[in-house]
Amino acid sequence: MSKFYYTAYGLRIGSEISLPLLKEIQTDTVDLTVKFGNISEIPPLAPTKIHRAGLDAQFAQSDGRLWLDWSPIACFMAANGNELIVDTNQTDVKILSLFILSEALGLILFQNGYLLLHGSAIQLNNKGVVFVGEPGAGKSTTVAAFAQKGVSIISDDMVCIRIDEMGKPSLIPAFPQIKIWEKSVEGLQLSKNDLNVLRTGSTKFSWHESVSFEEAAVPLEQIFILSPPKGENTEISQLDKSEGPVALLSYFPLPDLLLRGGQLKDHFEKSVTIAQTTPIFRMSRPADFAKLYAFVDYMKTTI
Amino acid sequence: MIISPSTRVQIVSGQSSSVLGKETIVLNYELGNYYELNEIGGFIWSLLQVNKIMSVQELQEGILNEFEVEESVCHNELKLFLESMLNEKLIEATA
Repeated sequence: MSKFYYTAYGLRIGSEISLPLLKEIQTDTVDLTVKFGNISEIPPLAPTKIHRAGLDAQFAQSDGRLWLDWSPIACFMAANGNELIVDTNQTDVKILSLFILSEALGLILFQNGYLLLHGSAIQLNNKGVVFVGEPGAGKSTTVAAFAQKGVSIISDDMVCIRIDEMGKPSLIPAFPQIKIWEKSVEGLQLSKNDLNVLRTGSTKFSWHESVSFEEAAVPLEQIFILSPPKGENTEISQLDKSEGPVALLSYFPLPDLLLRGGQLKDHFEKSVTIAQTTPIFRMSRPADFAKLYAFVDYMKTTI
Repeated sequence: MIISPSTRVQIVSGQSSSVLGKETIVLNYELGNYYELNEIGGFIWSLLQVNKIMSVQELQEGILNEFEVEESVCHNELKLFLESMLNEKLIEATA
């Protein structure tokens, strides 16, 4: 039985498990049920590059069901886009939340036909701007700098894109949280009173209570591919449209094994739609925090 | 295989393509291979998309109508292009 009702990524969620980061709602119907259960008879697991809290996940798939195994912390099974089973001995709410509101939930979004990117997103003048990049490229720090200047965030870590019947892409808001390293907290001079330690022993912080969050879907306007700083100047260059689909492919946040055959075709065609409608830029991350704020101001005035 | 002017070819199933800017991009999603075709390559691809099955001779005439190129050069380049497309399993010969 679901004890809690929430919304995240546009889904109405009924959950046995407390997920305090999510907005509570009242609803009679749900799109997704999250519950505890024993997961047995998993097909052979394959390694993935999905890394969280020092653990690499393993993955398996079989007709309508996807498994993500984070032994010994938790194992997940996503079924038919509407059920997420959590097999765990964990009782720490922060750890459960960290692992559920992650690629595990991403499996459900994938089953629902959304395009997912490993990145963060903000809303500026009702336009959605996405930042993707390798781990450590500065996605969350960039988004945190925008949030500090009163800009609403749409998601941090996993960006969910819906493409409508007219071929227009929009960003589906995730939930209000930015996860940032201590170094960025200090660089941005964020007050630690506004933040929580992500989990016991972590040097990463969660900014959720006071962060401004966009609740409605927002049209996708621009995508930035962030890379580490190159010298003093922030370099921005626009990709050729034909480079877009392959560039986006490298920021798929879920196991590569999901992109085979018809699923690869589907991902490719959605990426083509995005490349046709949305400018994609490569940007070297601003070299220091003053330059990062200058970029924030530039974006706020030009978009 | 040996390509002659009467060889008929068609695009394989299991691929998806799109024109983005000046390039034609093609994904063979069964094999997971990805290609960018240049202007003439993209033109040949578009002819095959419209006409489904074409002989090498018909393709050559199509190119000569569209581009200013010597017939002998066109013949050799087209043959090389089709050979590589066959090798990459983007097109197949048909009866």
